[in-house]
Amino acid sequence: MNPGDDDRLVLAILAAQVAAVRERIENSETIDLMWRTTDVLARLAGLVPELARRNPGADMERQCTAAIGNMTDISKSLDDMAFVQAQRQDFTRQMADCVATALARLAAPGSGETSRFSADDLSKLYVCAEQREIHETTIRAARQAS
Amino acid sequence: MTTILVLDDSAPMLMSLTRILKNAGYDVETAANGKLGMSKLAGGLKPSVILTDLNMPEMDGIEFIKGARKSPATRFTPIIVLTTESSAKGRDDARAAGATGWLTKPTEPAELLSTVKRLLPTHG
Repeated sequence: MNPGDDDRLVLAILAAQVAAVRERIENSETIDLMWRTTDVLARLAGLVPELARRNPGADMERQCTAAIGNMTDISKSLDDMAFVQAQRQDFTRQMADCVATALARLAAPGSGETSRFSADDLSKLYVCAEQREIHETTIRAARQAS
Repeated sequence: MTTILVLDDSAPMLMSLTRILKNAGYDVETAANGKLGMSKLAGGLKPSVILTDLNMPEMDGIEFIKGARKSPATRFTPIIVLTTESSAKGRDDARAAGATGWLTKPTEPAELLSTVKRLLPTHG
């Protein structure tokens, strides 16, 4: 192995590992479970009127109406939560994408003394303000430490 | 029924947006990137509103908006950008390309729906 090859190998491995983390983020089952729960609740809410029809009475009707209302509220809350969760997941996935891309570029043959991947190059990969804030904070801390 | 075209490369985002918009009574068409979105428009889809992410493979949101604005069918269709990007430059680029509205992720469903309703041609 040439000098620097080992570093590039480590970077390539790290890039692959971050890519694997990204896949896990993308395929998280939490949101899917929320949607499935919402769908089950919707089906149950559809069955409740039949329960009231088969067991007529003011009390049963009141309980069924309340149950449908509760299920509708919970379904809406779960769908709303899933929406916010999907956005957070998307956010994290894109940050992982950025790290994986940067590591892959650093690991590429030729990226050494002759073609450096700079902090400026890295900043061009950012897709959100949080990444830029972390970038600036890290650079400030590094300058203060040196 | 009012049709909304939604573009996002994240499958959970597409599914989640579809559910929120369908529950609100809208018909939803989806595309995983700008290129697929352009194919839907070329195929005759005439959405009342377009909701697009910016960072997508194949064709990003800015290129998609520019393409949509060249088509007579979507020249004046409201286009809302929904993205993790919150920089002023990102907004300026999207506005220059022809975007009508802007939402930064994470946004609440109520904010999304009120923005869609506000920008619908009939305020539907």
